[in-house]
Amino acid sequence: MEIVEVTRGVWWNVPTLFKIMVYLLAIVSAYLIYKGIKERYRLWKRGKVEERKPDIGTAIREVLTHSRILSEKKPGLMHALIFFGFFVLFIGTLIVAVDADTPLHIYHGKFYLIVSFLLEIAGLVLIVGLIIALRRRYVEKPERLKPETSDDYVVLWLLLSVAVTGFIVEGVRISAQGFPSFEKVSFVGYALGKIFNFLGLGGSKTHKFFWFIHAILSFGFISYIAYSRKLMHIIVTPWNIAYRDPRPYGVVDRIPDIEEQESFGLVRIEDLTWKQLMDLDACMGCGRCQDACPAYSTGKPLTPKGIIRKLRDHMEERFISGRSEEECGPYEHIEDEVIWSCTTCAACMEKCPARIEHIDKIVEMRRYLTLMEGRIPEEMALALRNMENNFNPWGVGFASRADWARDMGVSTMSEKGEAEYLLWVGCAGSFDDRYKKVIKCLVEILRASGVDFAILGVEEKCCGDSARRLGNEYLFEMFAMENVEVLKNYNVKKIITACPHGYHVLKNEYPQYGWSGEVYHHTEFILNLIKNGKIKLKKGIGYKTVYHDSCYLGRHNGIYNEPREILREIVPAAKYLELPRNRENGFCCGAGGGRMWLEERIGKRINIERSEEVASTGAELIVTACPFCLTMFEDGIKVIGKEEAILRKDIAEIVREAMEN
Amino acid sequence: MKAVCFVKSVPDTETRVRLTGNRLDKSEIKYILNPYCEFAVEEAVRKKEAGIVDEVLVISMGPSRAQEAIRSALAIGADRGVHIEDDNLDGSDAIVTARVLVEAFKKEGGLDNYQILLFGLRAIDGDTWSVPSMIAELLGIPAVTNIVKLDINGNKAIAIRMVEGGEEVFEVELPCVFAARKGLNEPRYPSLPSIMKAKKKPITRYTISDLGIPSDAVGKVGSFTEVLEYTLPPQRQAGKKVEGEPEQVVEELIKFLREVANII
Repeated sequence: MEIVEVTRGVWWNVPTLFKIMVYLLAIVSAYLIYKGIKERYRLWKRGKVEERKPDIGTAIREVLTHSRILSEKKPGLMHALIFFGFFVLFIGTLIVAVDADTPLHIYHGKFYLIVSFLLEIAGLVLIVGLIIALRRRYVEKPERLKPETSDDYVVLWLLLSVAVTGFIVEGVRISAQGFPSFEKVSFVGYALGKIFNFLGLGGSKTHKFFWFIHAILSFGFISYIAYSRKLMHIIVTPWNIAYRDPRPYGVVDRIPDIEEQESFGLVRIEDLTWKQLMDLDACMGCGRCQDACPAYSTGKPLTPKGIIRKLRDHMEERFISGRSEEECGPYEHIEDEVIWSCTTCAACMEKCPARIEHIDKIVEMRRYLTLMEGRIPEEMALALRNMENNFNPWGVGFASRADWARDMGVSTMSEKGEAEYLLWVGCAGSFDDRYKKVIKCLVEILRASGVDFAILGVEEKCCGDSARRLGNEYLFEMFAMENVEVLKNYNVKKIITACPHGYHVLKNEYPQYGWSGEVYHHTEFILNLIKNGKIKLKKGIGYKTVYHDSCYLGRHNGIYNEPREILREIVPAAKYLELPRNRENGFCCGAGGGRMWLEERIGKRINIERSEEVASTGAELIVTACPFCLTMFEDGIKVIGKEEAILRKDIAEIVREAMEN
Repeated sequence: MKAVCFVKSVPDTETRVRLTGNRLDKSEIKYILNPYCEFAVEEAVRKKEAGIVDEVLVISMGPSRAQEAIRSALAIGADRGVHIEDDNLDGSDAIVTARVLVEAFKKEGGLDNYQILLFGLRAIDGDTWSVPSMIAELLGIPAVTNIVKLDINGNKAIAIRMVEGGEEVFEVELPCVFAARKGLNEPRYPSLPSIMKAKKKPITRYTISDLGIPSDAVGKVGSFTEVLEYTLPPQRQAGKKVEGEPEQVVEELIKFLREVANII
């Protein structure tokens, strides 16, 4: 019996000239890829310095598990097929390289058979993924993939041609080698070989030809990676994930020494940090952010992807085309209305598989409009003046901040001296008649549970959330510093608040000004009281109930379960429904990012869109845990004519009504 | 051509007015630049931006907090300030205020230097509406008050004044006093660099002796009028509902309006 060595012979039928060519191409494409990355790196380095620590573990995990990518099934599957097909083929190529270029001749025998089979599968998987991708481009044409560039198509066809010629080379080789029976593991190649053989093209000449084509296409593809906006993501995106901001979404950073600065926000593209510039390159334009964006989906001109793309184009026109900052500015292609449309709800950031950070860029642009130009909507000027003069955006006289508490006899810190908990009432709880009722319920809950607490009264000022997110960092800083001083004065260590915006700012942003402590949102705190048996609830809300996730509570701070657990204690399971868009996919009420104070002039109003969603479930009660959300529903539900049919309540009100003690 | 704006520091519109005895309790008041003065300053700055005016001066009389009002005006874009501060000025009425402002204005060169004199129509605290016209009278120049439009054309100005049911269009020769009302413009939200710059702009301080005014000519002593007492408006009472048959209700209502409310 003839002993056949089970291997393919890596350089089989390859003339020396081709062989030399391969090594030359490898060197050239390695150099090109290095040069391309270096060029992008050079662009990022023109940004400002920013301290970031890479979290390589998360990057590897997110790439290998595809956790974010697969959050959308179909496009996720498409990417997974292409990625894993490509990835396995890449490993296979490394094995071949080791076999060919080192003394370790591993690519034979059983190992050869297993690897060959796996590569065969990988090739098929890759091709299936690419076909799904081409179908999306040519047939389905989802809106979010627009605007397209030729790059989007070149990449797919190039990769497909590499995969197909790979199979052809294999097939023709198997044919030319006389169909050794062990090669049946390479079932696609084996079958293709039979076809080529039948066509009379199964000889070594054809093999040489396709081998040459396959080699050129493969190295062409590798060289193209660093020059294709699309393929660049293979390299940049994992790094971008590693260098992501580990803090909650939408934590805004200080402008250091604000009084000493002469320019504020994004005036020139160089005002972004290196990481913010890298973000621009990490975008491969999948458009998930755009689909999730409440502004975009209600007809506003904002698309998160569009902003990232336009900033990248601008970065290139400045740094590559060499146009000066006088010749072109970042706002030539980004209109003010785009920038004001954002609710900072972080739906885009939650969806972005590359973990691009959109909010910080929007805030930088708003800082420019507000602080540098004073180019702001009229009603925004009013809200800011109200904050300046009366320390609340409503503009109610600051002296009446604690009026609501007078009939209830709630003590202030100045009266009490100290208390275990500070109840941070917030502007809504202090001045908005609707939310005053919620705060009163919360006070009754705290009292019934024997919690030792006090309020700041007129010493409390606006937390500054809206001011900061509308770009008025100067005003925010004033509030932050004054509030922090008061908190330190009373040695406050623990805070309870019913406002997710105050919660976010106190917990995640005031540490920038020297105060940190335990901050509890009332949903967290109430749930604890229930668990510790401090409040007894009776089940029995008869209404079909839905809960709306506040963005600053949910996506920004991960509080999804607490309110639901509370509701589970009160609402019978059969009566509790989830909104179609819930938890991480929650749809903003429209009031975040300071939009509470701005008119919504373009498109459909976001709160109406969301109110209709509530109505579509047949709900009779919408529960919120945020003053802004409650206001938006009070308004939205009325506008859609469901004022009688759907009750609007804060979770504290539901708990208060269900309490037995 | 130069413009001068006379401005006042006033309690914020949302201030809860409280009295200690029959005096104003000023402990919990947040002071702002009088909103009507803001229209005046904005207009002057716009005229400067349009190249019509070369300098905008801001003059204010009042305690140290008046400086903040001047800074607010400087942040909008005025060039420099004059602050008249003197303990003797406490209790001055409108005519005394007008006289002091005129002296300060003369010290700055008066009508030789400034041809456009801009005011807020009224200050939202004292609400006398009278200082602009008094100053025009003291300087012997015309005044157009309650204006919603101001066009400067060489030595002349066309100002549109709101009157009941319509508008009056005036053509006046400069120098002239103009008093701004809402609608003249939409005051800008000053940019942060402007606010920072305003902190470095010069403010000249005068006492009454700097202006050559004797102390018995100002304050309570020098004033024609004196505030004797402040009282708060009556607390709003709960509404009264009249029920019954129509004829009966109407009768009762008329009786109420005649005898209790004293309206008819």
